[in-house]
Amino acid sequence: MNFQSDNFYIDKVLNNDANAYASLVDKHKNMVYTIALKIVRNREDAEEIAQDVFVKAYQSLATFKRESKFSTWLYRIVYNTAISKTRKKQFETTDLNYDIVENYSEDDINEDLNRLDNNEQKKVINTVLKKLNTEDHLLVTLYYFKEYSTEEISGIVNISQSNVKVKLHRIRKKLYGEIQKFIKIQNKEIYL
Amino acid sequence: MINNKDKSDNFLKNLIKKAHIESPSPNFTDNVMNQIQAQQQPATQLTGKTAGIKNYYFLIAAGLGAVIYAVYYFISNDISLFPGEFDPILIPVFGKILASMKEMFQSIQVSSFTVVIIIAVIGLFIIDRLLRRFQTGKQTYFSF
Repeated sequence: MNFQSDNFYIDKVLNNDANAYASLVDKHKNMVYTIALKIVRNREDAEEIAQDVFVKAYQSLATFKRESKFSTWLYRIVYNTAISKTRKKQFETTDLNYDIVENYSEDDINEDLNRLDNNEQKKVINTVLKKLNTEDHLLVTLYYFKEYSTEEISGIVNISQSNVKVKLHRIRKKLYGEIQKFIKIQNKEIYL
Repeated sequence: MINNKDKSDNFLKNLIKKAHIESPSPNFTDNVMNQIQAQQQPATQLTGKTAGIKNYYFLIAAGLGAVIYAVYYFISNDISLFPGEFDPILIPVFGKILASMKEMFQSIQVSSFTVVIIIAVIGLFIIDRLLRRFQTGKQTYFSF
């Protein structure tokens, strides 16, 4: 489905066309739900939070100053709502003891992955992403999937931009480590 | 110039975009819109210009009603509106107004039963206005 810009729908809603909000909900529901789910890890709770967030956003739409993107504003609401629901006040510190496979080259891993077909690549990334903790997974989704800048992510998850950069650097290393481990295991299974 | 970090980032971006994103239930949007419409009803009823005008007329009508009733009550019981030296009867203009009103009200024979009915109707009208003001959702003041 093709959507117009967020501001197009926002203007309509503010001019008493409440139905235009349905398009905004359709446009952002998957990401809002995904963020909620990554934090609360329960589908029913995530759906309830996502619905509350959209209702809350509708009621506060007139206060949205358009200094940031609508989605950034919306994701900040869902992040804060989900965090307060799980009573987690602070972003957990990234575990520094994760198992990084040393002596790897990211280029080598990229080449290995490129040899795989699309379905196999999907399998690899889904398996690897499951191994990330909640916060890392959320950062990966915002940075790599939604292509948000570190500044925007910093505004959503309430940590400094430099901290976001450090965390992303560690997550990238961890991802490559996990991918390399996965590929090694796959290769062993093939040659056995 | 693309460095290794950017190259890896771009590679990961392409790879991660292949991962599936979660979706809520199919009726998610309908549920949200129903919740919004349920909460929207009282806001439009009370924030409109017409609601403001209605409140304005109501205040005037209530004020006039209160004044008429007070005058009627004092005159029919032959009580002076102001005590002691401030009695307006001393002022000729007020004296004439008061006398004409006294004549008018004395010509109307109203039983105490009628007065009770009028007070009850005014009371119900005021309660109606107050309940409408604090009404929430789509419920009317008849539903509990």
